[in-house]
Amino acid sequence: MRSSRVAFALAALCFASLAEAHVSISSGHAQANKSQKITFGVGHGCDGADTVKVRVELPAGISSVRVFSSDFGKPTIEGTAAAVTAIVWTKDAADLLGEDYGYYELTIRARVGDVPFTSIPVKVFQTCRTAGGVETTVAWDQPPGATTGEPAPLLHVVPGRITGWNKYTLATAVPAAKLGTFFGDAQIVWKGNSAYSANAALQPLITDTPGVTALTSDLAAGDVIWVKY
Amino acid sequence: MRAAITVLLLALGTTACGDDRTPAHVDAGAGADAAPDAVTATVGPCLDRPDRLDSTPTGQLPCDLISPGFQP
Repeated sequence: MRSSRVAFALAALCFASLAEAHVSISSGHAQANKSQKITFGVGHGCDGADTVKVRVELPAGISSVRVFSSDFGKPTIEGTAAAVTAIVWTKDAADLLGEDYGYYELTIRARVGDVPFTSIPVKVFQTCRTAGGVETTVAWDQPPGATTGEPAPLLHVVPGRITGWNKYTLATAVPAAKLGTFFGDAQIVWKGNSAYSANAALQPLITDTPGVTALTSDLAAGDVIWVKY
Repeated sequence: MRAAITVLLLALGTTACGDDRTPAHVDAGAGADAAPDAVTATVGPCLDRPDRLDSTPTGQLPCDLISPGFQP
């Protein structure tokens, strides 16, 4: 009974991972208040069919958009050059793959607003076509935690940084469960005498250092933290 | 004969790896011209690799990871 539960949990985890892997943001965290490249990775088509079109809706807070051409296909924009609201990359019909084995990267350059420690959902609509010409569109547009539909890729925004120590005063709360999301690439994070590290080798050192406790609580707006990258 | 070969092999092995209780560097007065590279090459394979330690030697956070705002 126990083994079947474990197998079910693993299967569910595997399925969830596959579902999230179709369209994701492969460029990593974005830095707040800065222009940068943001890349969408399309890891799978739809039920064995190749992807032929990807439409990305740009949410509020993403501006100064410039679009990169892709091996996938040429991009077009919706809105105006000064205020792009969506981008559509379309594959040439001659490039359609007979099966789903392609991986595509679609990149824009854009400025992300000054909203560190937030996650911005970006709605993506993926259209696939079978070798027989049947088209389907999958909407990746659901917010985190939705129980129906497909999740929108999340653009995790972090503050600007330098190598070494960075001191931040939080403008928004960061739940403890999100520490790994926002500080996964930091060496260590400190709030007062409490420390957090996603590095498993450092975690026992934190608890074994006199005067130091593990940081496991939520961070509140106004908290001052030190982060070493 | 077999015993003699065994003793000889053990002696060669000990010589190749050095002895933990023997200082790695030769005293300057006794052999200032001894080549450090040669010494390292001889004992190197028998030493722990510092970058492969499981944790810091003290088992506590190294100083460079202690926050500037830390107040013990």
